Amino acid sequence: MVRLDLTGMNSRNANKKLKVLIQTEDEIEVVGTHSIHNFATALIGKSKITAHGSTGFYTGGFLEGPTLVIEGNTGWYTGDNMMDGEIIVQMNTGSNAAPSMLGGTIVIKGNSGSRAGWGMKGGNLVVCGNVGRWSGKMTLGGRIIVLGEVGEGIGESMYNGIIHVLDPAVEEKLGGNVMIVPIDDKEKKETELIFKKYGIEQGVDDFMSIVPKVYGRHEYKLYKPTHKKVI
Amino acid sequence: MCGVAGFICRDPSAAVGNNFIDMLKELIHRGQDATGIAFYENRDDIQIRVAMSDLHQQKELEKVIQKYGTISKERAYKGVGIFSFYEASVDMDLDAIGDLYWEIDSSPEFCVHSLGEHIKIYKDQGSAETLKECHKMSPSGATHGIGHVRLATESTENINFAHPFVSYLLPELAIVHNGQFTNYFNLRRKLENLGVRFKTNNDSEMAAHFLAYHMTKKGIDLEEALYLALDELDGIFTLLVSTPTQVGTVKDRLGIKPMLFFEKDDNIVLFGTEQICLTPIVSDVYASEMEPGGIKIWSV
Repeated sequence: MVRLDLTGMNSRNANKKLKVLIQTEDEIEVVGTHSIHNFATALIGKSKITAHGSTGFYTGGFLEGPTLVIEGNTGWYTGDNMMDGEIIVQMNTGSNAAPSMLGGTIVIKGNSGSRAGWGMKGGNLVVCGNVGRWSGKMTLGGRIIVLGEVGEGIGESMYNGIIHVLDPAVEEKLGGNVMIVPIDDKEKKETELIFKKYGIEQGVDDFMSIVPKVYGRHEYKLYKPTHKKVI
Repeated sequence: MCGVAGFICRDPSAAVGNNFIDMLKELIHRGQDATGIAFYENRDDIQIRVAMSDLHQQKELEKVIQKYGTISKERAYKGVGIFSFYEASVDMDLDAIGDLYWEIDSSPEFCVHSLGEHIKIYKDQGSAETLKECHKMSPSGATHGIGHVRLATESTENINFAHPFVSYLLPELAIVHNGQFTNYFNLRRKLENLGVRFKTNNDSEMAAHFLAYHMTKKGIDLEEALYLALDELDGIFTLLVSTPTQVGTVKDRLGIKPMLFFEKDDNIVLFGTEQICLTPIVSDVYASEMEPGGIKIWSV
């Protein structure tokens, strides 16, 4: 185990240091994170990196292999284009968590902002709290699991992939071109395994799944101004 | 990009104004072309702040102001860049503020930054740090304020094009804006046909005149004006608008540009583009996000 202090260090130098350490160390403890942007981006390896504090935008972008534990909040675009590995955020994330994610698992113990899992292509995104509006929009693959409330327009224009939700009011908030189907046994088992691995105490029987419709297209609503033109 | 921040402090002992500039410091990564703040305080005189292209023009400027009233407590100093600033207390008729405003602004050498009973605006090139060092402002008694860090995208890098923007039509109204207006030229032409005069060709100035025109000439309140702005202004934008009694915010229907707010015990309301800019005032915040197409108004 090695300890790395980021106090006064910029993103570039911090990532350079991590890139060297990850070659030899199994466990890296990071302190003095001062909400640093681009923390642990583009790292390839197998180590476990624990950040004692909050990190900023693009935390764990392009991550390929390592386990990243953030014991605080993260900013926007957590796990952007993540390839493989794990990101576990103990508190909340900003908007656009796991955009265009290709593989691996992201677990958010708190809430996430709007557009979580936008354009996801693979992997798992688990949000233990709530997600904001337009989550899972235009996903191409992968699995999103939300334990709390979902925002408006969930799953809007999904191409592929699946969203498991518990929120009883999900039907009113459903996006266009998607439908709700019951969770099947295979999905239940896979979800159970994920919960077991990350210590999430939650039954899987009550989940509903959101999947794209196999037919039909959007009904586009044209915007109509509600106020009279004054000038 | 650009970043905005703002606060309302209903409890004078909290003195949030002191740390207001630190909120903008946290947004430094969103733009360093210019930084500006507008704050409101309870005082009993009319104060003016003008940017001059040179310190020697102070006499010329004073001649113009003296036509309208008497000057006291004047101060002229060099800013961070090439511009110099003039600040004074003016004993004058409240109704003549609009005329004085435009008379100064009609000279290419001067640009009024603020003129009014409550408002004071400081804006200059560079970061929040340099603004604080150079201008020696004292917003400790401020009841509310708004601020902006600028990344110039739509118009030139000139401090008179920096936010907050005011309008001579309603000098106590200030706006900060994050985004772009795509129908700027159309609306500017319409407003100019209605007799509104523009000082810069920054799209955000149009928003200030747009709101001020409708609030003064059409007699609508801030909330109605913001609803009108939501329908009439096109593009991606969030506006943070303040008057001596209210702070309002509007976010466009696409919801691209972020705007967060946080209310603490009825005494403090904080606004910002990112959650981190609220932390100098309240260290542990969990802010709410404005809905796309949303409008919110707070009374001071």
